[in-house]
Amino acid sequence: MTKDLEGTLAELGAGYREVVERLRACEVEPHAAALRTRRLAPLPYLAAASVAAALVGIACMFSSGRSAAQDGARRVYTAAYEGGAAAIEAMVSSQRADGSWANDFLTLQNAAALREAGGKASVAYKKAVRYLRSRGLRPLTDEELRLRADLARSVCSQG
Amino acid sequence: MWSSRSSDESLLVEAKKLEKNLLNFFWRQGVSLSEGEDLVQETYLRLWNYRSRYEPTAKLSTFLFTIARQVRIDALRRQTRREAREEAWERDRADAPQPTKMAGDDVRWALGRLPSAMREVVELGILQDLPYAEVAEILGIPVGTVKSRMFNALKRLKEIFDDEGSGRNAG
Repeated sequence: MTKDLEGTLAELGAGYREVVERLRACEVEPHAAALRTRRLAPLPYLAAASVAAALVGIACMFSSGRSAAQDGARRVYTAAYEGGAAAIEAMVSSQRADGSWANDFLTLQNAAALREAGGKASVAYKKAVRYLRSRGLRPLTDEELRLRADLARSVCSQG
Repeated sequence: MWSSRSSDESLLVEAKKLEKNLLNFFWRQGVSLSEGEDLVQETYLRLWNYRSRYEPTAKLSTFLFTIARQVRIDALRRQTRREAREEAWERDRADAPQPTKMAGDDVRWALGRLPSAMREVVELGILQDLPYAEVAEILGIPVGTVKSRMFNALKRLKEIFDDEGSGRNAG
């Protein structure tokens, strides 16, 4: 407790310390909301294949050189947002697959991606996460991402 | 000025430590947990965009809560516009579900009965445990005003809690 607050409590007299303690006892932990939201239902095979294809496309755009990646990142985010739910889901979940996003908050890695990508990307990313949340979705777990990465690799090897 | 890449990263590392504080800052103002998380994210995005304005000599919490406060104000403006659009629909909706009571709702309800000027001082001075000088800087008011608002807010909160207690006993 700060000295300032101690001073105010001393002025107010007895009974106010309990008010402060009661207020402080009320708090939530980050990610509590994520636990409340329902998990993604298993995707049908065709939907999973389309998501995998989107992942492959995004991975290809990110891997095409630094200057191209800067332009590509902007296009990826904007295009993903304009592409609808499946594309957005692919975009958000793919961040973890290549080691970028740890969760849907700003991390060092995705901050670096935003720095490279520019203003539109951050807006599109923000909108994308809101879009997902508004539909009760959430970024994928490690296991789900591994499964999708495996699926993407198998699609690549077949191509 | 805050410019180098390593400094940028350490700024975010430090900011990330305040994630729980930020979430509670928004949640105690009556927003849902998921909306609160969105607002935290928006705060971090703005921090990133405005990082060049951060002076390392200043406390990060002051800078971050100044941004968070503006994020909340902007969210309230958006909400007001949205509510205005939905007002007619809400009027016609006879079977609107009543909000359910959650743990901590009594505290959020009590805070909601304070004028916003007092609520902000309580949030920053008590719940975020910031010194009055820092609260004053974030809110852009004199330290003496912070002190008087805190004094009056605590008196009001005690009345609210006491009333609530006597209401329960009567019930």
